[in-house]
Amino acid sequence: MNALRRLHRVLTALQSRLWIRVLCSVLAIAGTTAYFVPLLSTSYTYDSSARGIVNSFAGPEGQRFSDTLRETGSVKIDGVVRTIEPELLATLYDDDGKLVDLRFTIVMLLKDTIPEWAPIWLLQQPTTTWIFYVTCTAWLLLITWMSLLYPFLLTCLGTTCAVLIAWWLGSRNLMFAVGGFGLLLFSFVLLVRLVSILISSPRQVLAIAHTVIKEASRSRISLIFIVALLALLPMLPFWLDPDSPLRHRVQTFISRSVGMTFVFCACMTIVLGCATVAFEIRDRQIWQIMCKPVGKFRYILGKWLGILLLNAVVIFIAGISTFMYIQYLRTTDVAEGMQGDLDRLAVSEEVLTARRTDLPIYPPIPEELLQQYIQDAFENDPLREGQEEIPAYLERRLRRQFERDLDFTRRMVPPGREGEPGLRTFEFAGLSETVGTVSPLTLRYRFLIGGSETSDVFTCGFMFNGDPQTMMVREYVPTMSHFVTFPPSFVRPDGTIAVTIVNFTQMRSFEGQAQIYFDEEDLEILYKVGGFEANFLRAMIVMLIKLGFLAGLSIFCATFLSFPVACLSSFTIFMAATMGPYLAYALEFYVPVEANRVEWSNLAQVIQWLFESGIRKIAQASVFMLEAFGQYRPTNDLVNGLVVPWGKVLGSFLRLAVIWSGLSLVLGYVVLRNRQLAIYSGGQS
Amino acid sequence: MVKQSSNPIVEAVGLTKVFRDFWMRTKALAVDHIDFEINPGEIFGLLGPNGSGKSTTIKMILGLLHKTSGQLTVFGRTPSDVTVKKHIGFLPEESYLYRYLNPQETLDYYGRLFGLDRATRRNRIEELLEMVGLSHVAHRPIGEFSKGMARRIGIAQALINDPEFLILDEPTSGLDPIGTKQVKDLLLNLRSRNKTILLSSHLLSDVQDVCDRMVMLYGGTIRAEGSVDQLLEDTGRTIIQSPRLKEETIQRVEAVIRESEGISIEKVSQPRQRLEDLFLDIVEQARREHIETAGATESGQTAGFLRAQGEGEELIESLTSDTLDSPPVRATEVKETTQAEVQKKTTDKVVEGLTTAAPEPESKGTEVSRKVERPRVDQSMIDDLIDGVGSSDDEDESGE
Repeated sequence: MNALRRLHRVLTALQSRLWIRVLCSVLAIAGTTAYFVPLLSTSYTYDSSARGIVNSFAGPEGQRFSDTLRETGSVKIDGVVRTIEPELLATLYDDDGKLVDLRFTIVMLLKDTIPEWAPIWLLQQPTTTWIFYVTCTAWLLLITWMSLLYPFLLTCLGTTCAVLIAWWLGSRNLMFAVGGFGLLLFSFVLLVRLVSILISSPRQVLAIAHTVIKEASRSRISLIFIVALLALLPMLPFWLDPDSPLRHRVQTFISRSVGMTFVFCACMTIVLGCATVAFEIRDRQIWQIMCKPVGKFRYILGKWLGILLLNAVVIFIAGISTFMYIQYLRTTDVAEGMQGDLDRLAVSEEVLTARRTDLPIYPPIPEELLQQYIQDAFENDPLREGQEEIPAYLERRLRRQFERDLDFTRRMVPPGREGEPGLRTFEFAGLSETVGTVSPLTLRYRFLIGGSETSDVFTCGFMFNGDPQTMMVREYVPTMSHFVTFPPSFVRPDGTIAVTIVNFTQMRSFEGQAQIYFDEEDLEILYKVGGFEANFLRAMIVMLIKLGFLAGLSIFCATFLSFPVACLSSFTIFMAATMGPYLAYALEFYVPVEANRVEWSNLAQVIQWLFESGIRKIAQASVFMLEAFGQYRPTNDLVNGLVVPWGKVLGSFLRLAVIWSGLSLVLGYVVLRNRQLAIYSGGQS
Repeated sequence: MVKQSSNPIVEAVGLTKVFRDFWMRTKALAVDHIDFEINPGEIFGLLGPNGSGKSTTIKMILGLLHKTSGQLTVFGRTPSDVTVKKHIGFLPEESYLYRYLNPQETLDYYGRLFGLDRATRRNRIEELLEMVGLSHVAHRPIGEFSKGMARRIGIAQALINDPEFLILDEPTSGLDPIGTKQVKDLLLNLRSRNKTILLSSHLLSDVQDVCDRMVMLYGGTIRAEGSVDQLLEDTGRTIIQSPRLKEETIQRVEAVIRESEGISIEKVSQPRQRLEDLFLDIVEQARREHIETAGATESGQTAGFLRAQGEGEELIESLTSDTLDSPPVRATEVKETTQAEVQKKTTDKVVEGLTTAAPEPESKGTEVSRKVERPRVDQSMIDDLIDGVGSSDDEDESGE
């Protein structure tokens, strides 16, 4: 035992020796450089080749290159002959001999140039490769210079032993989970240490934040959430269905990992935020702090900052691990042949991307028409007989109803008659960003059709800008989302495009029976505006901002409530805020009887009215204050490959971080300022 | 010793604190129109039984409680003024420390709250941990500490900013005799640096040993106030203390007294070694033998930054020897000369001194020292006060 202790002391001292640090740093840099530099070189070569192919096929002689490839199965670009297997060649062209998808063609042409040792997902993304290179090197250097080399080696040893046991048991999944857990846990320790160093200045706010981080990393109350999250993350891949399409696997993984990270962090934030203040007041450590020259707002701010930094660390680790696994997952097995390749392409073009959506534009409803409708509806209402003036609330309700009805009729495509298909054209604008690009655009649609069964299959067509040459005929199943891709060359130079939906289903007994209709957001054009990496980063930032609000909220509650009550209150508000959009929607249908129609002599009716009105007011207040929290849902955007724009990040920052978090902290300050922190419990007076 | 100044550190006029319940009914009148001031450079004692208002007064000074009426200023400002707290060190009645931090981190945290730079913090933490004898457990979580060890950290944190004004609420509570003695030494050392100290204690001997002035509270009001000399002086009695005398010598001394003063000796007793001294000796011996302990080890000298410039242990020693009830000669000191020699020399000197009215002797041990013992003049009142101390619960604000 003593020998072990001595060894421990020697190794602990050794890791702080300068020559050991320098040696390890050199080894770390040499090791990462030896792997990543050739990878980067290959990656840039790949990228350059891909650009060459784009320039050739999208340039003035594009048609010649396309024809050559179609006829011979090979094409010479920039002096290099690229070939495609004959069975794949047919799938690249449509019936008219046009390339279906240039990006897919690039992948097929460069398939043979990828070395086996290089992961394709890194090759295709030089920027990501750089990120990995820098991250790995920085990680190793931090371990070396923050005196964590010895713990790192111990962790590696422990993890390796556990992995070997898992290997001996024959469980590949367990090996992965144990290894991942060890890596994530050590990364957490490393980053906590790094953050501690970064905030080690003698500023009071940072000192308090520093202590909060120490509290969180040493107290069971918060550690349980962190450890559970870091243990569950590596296990998530095992719950994916290996037989499902890759696209679904990736979407499921993103949804679960990001969603789980947020839920665990939110729980930890609330519990820690309540505990760190409520327990300090209960156990009177706050006396020691308030006897120092620390302003009460600084105290609150320090607590908030500490929780926020801890969340940043956890989100960073969870984010990096999620991101890395996604990059791995996208390279895993898919179905053989064209279907598998398209599946993989769908992952990169529809999930691991940042797309913007564009909805059809409808001409505005003339005000006179609206007024006429409102007047007619009012006059024809038998309950309003004798009333001369339309109440304001009723006018608002009728206006909304008319707008909804009209929008619905505008989203209908009539059925075909007498052998001719039914048509309706929808105008889209604001697609200027796609002009001149190579990435295909996607039209997503989810149709409903009158009198159909859910298992029925119908046929429809899409025509662009009224050009019959662009017609694409597709089969669809009602209530399910379908996609049709089209080249960016279809978009007019001013960024507009007209999409005509062709309904081939013929009218039978009545018009509504074969009429296509769809909800407001079920016809949209999606186009790429950025990469997944930056989008993922923005989504993580929005998540952190939301957690910042929860931290402020829980700290505020804990300034005047005991720990359990503060937790309960914070969780209630959190749930209400998350469900804000649903609540807002539900409120549209929850309207108590109007006051002037209540029979005041009927006590039961009065009580019912009072109850319903009270509930509605509370719900309205809740929606007014908290709807913004639920509106920012970065996980959904990531899963659907939608862009989380910087505007949204800024908006969430202003609304949640500046206004709501700020307000929570100010309220907490006001409570602490007026509260007597010492309470009388003396025996005599 | 007391350095009067026109600007008191703390000034309370008509200070009142009423605690009310949820319905704003009076629950307790904790402090009732008290007036006092604490001057720079003095050690000011707050005495009183449980519920007398000592802790309430301290918490109002610290801004942890709001006064109900009256005036209270600290360094000429309101207690809630954050800038005032830069100069204050506070040791609460219990050490409310973070269980998950170790002593080094605890002191570093509080040092950062005072805005101390890294180098200053490092030096002070090292010195303070050395001072309170916890250097060897600097990296052990405080949650594993005994009450006394936590108390030592509490003392260290109160001193991290080298405060101008130190507030100590029951500073020796939970401390062993070594720690108690060290706290007293520390207080005297701080006073020599013109620091101001507010000391609240149940242990009357602690207060008596070190305080310059004190107030005695009962029921939220001041029952007695003044300097220690004023309150405890008793000119009606004289005690002569010397090494052991032979019976015939005592008779000769009594004869001299009777002849000179016309009175006789009331009582002659053989002093025993004090338990505190015996304890300190045993611990000292154990440390010399390097016996391991998981608790506090040998406390170092007062932290350098807390000592007066150019003064060392001699100063502390001289200050402690000035205290009113210096301990009698230790057994170990007597061993240095033979018993017979001491006996002879002492006897001769005592008789000589008494008969020739020699000046007051300077050293103790082999010479006769003449001291005026000051028995508690208002013993009945203090007994009354102590009656309330029977409970083991500390102080009045001891729970939410």
